Amino acid sequence: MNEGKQLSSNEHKNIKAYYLLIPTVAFEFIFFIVPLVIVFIYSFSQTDPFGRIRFEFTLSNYFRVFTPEFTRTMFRTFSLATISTILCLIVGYPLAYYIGYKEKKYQSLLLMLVIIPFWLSFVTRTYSMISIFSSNGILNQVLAFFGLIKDRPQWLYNWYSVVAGMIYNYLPMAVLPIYASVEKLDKAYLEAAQSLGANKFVTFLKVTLPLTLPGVVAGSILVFIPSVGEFLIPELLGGVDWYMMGNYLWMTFLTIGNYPFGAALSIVLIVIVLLFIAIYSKYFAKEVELGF
Amino acid sequence: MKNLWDKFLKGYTFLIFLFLYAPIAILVLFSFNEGFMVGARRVGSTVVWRGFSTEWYTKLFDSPAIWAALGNSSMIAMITSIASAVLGTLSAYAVIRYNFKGKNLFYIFMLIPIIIPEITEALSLLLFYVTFGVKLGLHTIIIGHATFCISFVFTVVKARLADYDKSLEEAAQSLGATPVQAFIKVTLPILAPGILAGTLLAFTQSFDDLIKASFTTGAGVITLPMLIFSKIKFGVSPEINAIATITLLISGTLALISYWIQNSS
Repeated sequence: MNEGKQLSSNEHKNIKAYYLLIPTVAFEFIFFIVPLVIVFIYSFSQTDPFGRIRFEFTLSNYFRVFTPEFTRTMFRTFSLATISTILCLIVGYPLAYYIGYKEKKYQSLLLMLVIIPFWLSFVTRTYSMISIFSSNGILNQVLAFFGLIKDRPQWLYNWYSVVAGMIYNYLPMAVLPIYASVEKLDKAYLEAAQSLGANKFVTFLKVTLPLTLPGVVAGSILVFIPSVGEFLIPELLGGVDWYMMGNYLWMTFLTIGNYPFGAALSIVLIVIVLLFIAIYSKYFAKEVELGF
Repeated sequence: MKNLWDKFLKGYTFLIFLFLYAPIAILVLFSFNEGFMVGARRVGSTVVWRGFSTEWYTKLFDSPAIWAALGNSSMIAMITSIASAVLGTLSAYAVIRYNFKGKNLFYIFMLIPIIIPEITEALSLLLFYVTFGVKLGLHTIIIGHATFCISFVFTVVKARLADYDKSLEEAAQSLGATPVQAFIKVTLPILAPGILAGTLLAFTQSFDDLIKASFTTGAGVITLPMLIFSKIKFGVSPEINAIATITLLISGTLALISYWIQNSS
């Protein structure tokens, strides 16, 4: 009897949680989910000769997405995002490791230094790279000062300037989750491995790396997804030859105004992202902790 | 050996921070670069230092376009961050205070607007507005920003309250407070630093957004990042450095306030 009452009062409490969630869920449903459904519908529509949209089912937009012009772009997008993700992890891991082993009082300061760029304007940060990499830019001035170069190579408008821009902007997203898993790591395991005769390198490979793998996975999600949909970095640092899918989406919607084709292109991008999320889904909600 | 490894990591960390902050420092430095005349036009370099001058800032203060963009961006960020603070806090509170079915699903639901490529969100919202004949303007940008800013507030408030003790609120209620009173008197003060930090983050994310604003803006409504972006298309200049420095100053100040709040409580 008493138990039954307890249960119903708990249920009552749970219903209260749903009331609190209603405004957010309703808002996100209307302005986030419904628009995605609309994109899906548009991707099967067509334009008449006057450029007006007719909702008659067609797959022609998807056929166009899979012509060589766009499969090349998709391949380029995927490659650039993958290279950027791997490099972010490689560059970010030692930093996360270092911060994770620092004394507590330095940890928060170092973390703050990692996170602050994320607060600063994305446009401004990307713009700041132009003056570094341009042919008469700071990098060449420094290299020439040390006598390392004779002429002034153009670092911009190449795949590596796009990747450098990605690392510059997304490094914090790789460092934060790796740091979180290094910090959680029970240091007793390392002492155990070393007292059993493993050297530092073996300890790292057999103990530290496997135990921090969830952080690495979370970091790869947080870097790969925004970079596969990146627009601004290839726009400013890559140029037309290194345009990614995001640049074609921008052009198709804001310059050309071909909504049905743009919709199909973006559905393909969304599917790539969803596939990626599906692969990592078991790590998804658990490990992706953002530490702003 | 241990010392050497430690020194290597220290040096490496220093180099990474140099990589993260030097371009920003150089950008700010060259916003104070002196200009020179080319024909009848005053131009300036962003890579060769000619001397200290505040002429680019003076030029900015006289430009009505800059003031209009700054006004639009501030207005959008203000309304977005306050609305997101309310919705994000309610959701975070529900998640921390109660256990309910579908909680994990809700976490994922709240993460997706932050991590999905922004351009797909932006174009889908544009199609939504076009389909339902919504007139574009400031309000359509605000709605677009709120969809991801709610998630930011939610994430920050939730993280802040991971070790929140719900028995405090129950104690207040058993002493005769109504649920609303208990929330306002007991829970809200505990939540306050997290809410403030989340709201500041939402403000900067909205203030600095280029993509969603570009897709959902109405005729003649230009935000500060849109203005910077359109100027970059005509080439780099110390004038852009000066506008960019102002955005850095605003976001940077808010970031430091946020850290100060989080560390002092």
